[in-house]
Amino acid sequence: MNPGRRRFLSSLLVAGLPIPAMTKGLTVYMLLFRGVTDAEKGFLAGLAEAGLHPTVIIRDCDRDAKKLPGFVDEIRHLRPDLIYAFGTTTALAVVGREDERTHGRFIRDLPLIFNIVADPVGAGLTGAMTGSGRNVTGVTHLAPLQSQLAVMRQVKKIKRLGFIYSRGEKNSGLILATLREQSRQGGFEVIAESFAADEVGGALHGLIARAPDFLYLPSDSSVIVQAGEICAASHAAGIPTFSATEEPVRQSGAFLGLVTPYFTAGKFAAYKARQILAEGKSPGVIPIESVTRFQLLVNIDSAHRLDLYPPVNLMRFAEAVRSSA
Amino acid sequence: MHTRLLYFSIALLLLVAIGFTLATLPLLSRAATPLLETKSRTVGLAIANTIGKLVTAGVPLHRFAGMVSYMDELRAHNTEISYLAVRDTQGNLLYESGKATGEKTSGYMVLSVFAPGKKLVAKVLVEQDPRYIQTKLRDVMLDALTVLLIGTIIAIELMLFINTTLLAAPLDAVDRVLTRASAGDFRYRINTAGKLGEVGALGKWLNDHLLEINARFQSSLDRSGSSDATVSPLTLARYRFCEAGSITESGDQLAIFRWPFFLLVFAEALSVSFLPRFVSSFPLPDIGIPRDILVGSPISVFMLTWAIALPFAGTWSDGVGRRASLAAGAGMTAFGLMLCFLANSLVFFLLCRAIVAIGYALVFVSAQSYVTDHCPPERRTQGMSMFLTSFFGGSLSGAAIGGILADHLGWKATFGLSAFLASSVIFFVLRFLPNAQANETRKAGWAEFKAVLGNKSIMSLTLFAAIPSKISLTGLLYFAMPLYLLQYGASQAMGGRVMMAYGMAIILLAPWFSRLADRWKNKLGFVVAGGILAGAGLFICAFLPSGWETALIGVASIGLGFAISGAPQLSMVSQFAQHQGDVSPGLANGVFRLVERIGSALGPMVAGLLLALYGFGGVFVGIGLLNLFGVLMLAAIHSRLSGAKQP
Repeated sequence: MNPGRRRFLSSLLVAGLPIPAMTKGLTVYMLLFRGVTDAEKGFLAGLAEAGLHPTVIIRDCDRDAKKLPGFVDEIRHLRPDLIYAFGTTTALAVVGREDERTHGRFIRDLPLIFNIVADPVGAGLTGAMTGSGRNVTGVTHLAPLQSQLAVMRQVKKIKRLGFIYSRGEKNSGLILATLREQSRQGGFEVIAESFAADEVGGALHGLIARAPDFLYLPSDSSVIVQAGEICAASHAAGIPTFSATEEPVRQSGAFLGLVTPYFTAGKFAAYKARQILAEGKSPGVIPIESVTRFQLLVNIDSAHRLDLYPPVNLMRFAEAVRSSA
Repeated sequence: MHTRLLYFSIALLLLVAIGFTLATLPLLSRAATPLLETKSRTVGLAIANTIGKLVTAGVPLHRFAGMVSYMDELRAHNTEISYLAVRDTQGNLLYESGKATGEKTSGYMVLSVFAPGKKLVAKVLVEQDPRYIQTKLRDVMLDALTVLLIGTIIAIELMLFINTTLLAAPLDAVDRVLTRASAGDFRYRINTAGKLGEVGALGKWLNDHLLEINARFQSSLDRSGSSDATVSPLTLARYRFCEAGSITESGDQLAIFRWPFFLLVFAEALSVSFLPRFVSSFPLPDIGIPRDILVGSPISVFMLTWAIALPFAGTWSDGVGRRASLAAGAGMTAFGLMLCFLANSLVFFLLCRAIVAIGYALVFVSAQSYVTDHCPPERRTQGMSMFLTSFFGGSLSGAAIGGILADHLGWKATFGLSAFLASSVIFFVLRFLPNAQANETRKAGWAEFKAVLGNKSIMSLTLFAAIPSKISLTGLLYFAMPLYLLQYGASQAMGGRVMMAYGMAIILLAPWFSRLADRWKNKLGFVVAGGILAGAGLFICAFLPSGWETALIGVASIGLGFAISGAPQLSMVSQFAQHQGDVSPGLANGVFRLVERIGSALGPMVAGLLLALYGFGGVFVGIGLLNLFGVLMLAAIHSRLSGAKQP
């Protein structure tokens, strides 16, 4: 997110200025992990399209999970009409796992919509995708792992799949487990290396040394933020990269991705918000879904670099991306 | 004379049809050309767009992975395109799919691909298969020919019928009566009941004169005051007279049965082509039986009911006479078809099919027995061939037309039409068929049944000739050939035509062969010959390259075989029944047919087994050998049975 915008919104918070009151009188509290992404922009656009103009409070923990409890307290105080949470860590901080019975620590009486959560069931946010039965619903953004693997396979045969992730990210652990299952059936090997916070270098070079056929970048905030470094090193070694999310392909040179555009996910989340705010539905009965169509992204500059091009049948439907400056 | 009339009408029909076809063919090819060009352009543009998109995205032209398989797929979906190629701006070939012929037929084109900025990037070449349009035209012609054939069959049957009732039979009656009269026998009258037109008038005129002659004799007797006994024996011996109410001569009544029989078979056959689809549209009960079996059940029920009903129908027909049983059969069939029209559940439909089957069995057996009744032994084979020809004619035409009707009118309407046609058969039967004299009722007791089963001549014929014929029919024609044609890439239309060859062989050739069989008085010989030909033909097929041509040879072989042996088989059965076992022909026919059905049922299983174990080659060889050995066995048995007796 561009620094100028962050500063403006933070200043609003700091100054304690009343955020301009809008027509509806509803409040939406948006709890973010790494600033305003396209997901939030889509969410706000979607709300506006639906004719909802609530008061929006934006809080960003800037990749520091320790700030989360403070925000949760604020939520308890303010009692907004809807909470929007970006990412698994944030959502869990507010509502907790569904099997956690800890009294009072979590917010269980205000509706929460999560966005950009890879595996809601695995994370414990809900027992079933058809409905959580509690104050939680949301949108997942990942294409099925089978489809992602199928795309990779059309480009290059996979015997070894490299997987890089950060230790603090719940999403990644879950995805890795699923991937290992797939590897057993699919006849390929998963080589995984993890790193702590910003120290990606060691894990990265360790993985590259083991010469995987593809390097997989999961929906992991630390990975996404450091994607540029990851992809550059990987491509220099001739190993193509695949991203489960949009940003690394568009902005950091990841070679390939089967993604849900964050903006679309945001609008989908706004659609669910409308059901809660305008139609008065309980979040527990609203199913947790992903957008049904995924986008195939190919970074052409990386393709040139790797001298590797996806086949015609994929390229026909792909969006060709050039690395942004 | 009516043969000449027949040939003339057929010639006229053919002339008109051919003329029409020749006139429209150039129109077709002219209309097709722009359509083919459009198709080429569409495919070419698809490729061009893809190239443009990729080049714009930044993929180098020579790095299009999977381009060839992409083009292969396009060709697979557009079979008229035989060659696709992509060349760069220097003309170097980059990617190609298919075989280039260099022939610039219609549909040949070169498309240029431009990147943004009007820069020429590549050229796409599209070539079409020059034989494509010829194949299409050939298909159209064959279809037209098929329709022509069916129209001809129906026209012939109808014409024969009109001819027979209006001309041939009455004239034959006149002929017979006059012949007898010229020999001094004045007892006969011409049956003028319902005879129309000139011939009817002639008949009436003659009858009046005959009546006059008889009346004068009678009055001369009265005048002389004596009874017949006192008239000179010489006179009496030479001339015959009798009271009014004499013996009526109706002429040769044989061919009259053809049209009603043909019409009924035709009516029932209308629904054959769409029966499975019709049944699929019902809500099928969920009782754990696989859906495919449920869908096939109406056909099985029909076959089973028909088979079981045959012997009983045969005996009943013997008892009440052919006219009554034919009418009753037609009525039942019509009723059953009408119920089919109303059917909307599987169980009810099964019931309807059973009713239709019973009526069908009645008609079938009655018709066959009618031939036996009205055919002197020296012409029995010809009579039977009439029976077979009508049957196959109706079956073929009905099946072909039924599909077309169903497409245009819908299933229910077609059933309704079937019912209507079947009920019209009742009218024809009652109006035109001669008043049947009820045969001596031979009760169909178990003893009679056993008598038939015990009759070695009949049973050996059934087992060694009829059953192999039926196995060839159901196993090869109905079961294996469709699979064979499917596997070796014949189009559905081509497959249908190959299958038709069986019926056509019989319709065209059976009458001729049956005439020969009667003339040479050697039915057994023909049965054996037919079996050998069928067997040999199939045997050869096993060694020919696979393709629809081989299938055609196989089908034609069994068709030819049955054209030669089918009618003699039937006439031999009734002959044995009458001369040997003292068994009623109706029952014998019925039993023969019933046991034959076993062959029908076995056919697909035998063929399936052969196919599974030895492939299609095995099917040909196996069934071929079955035919061969069957008839050789038959010949051996009969030579032992009959000694010097000529069958």
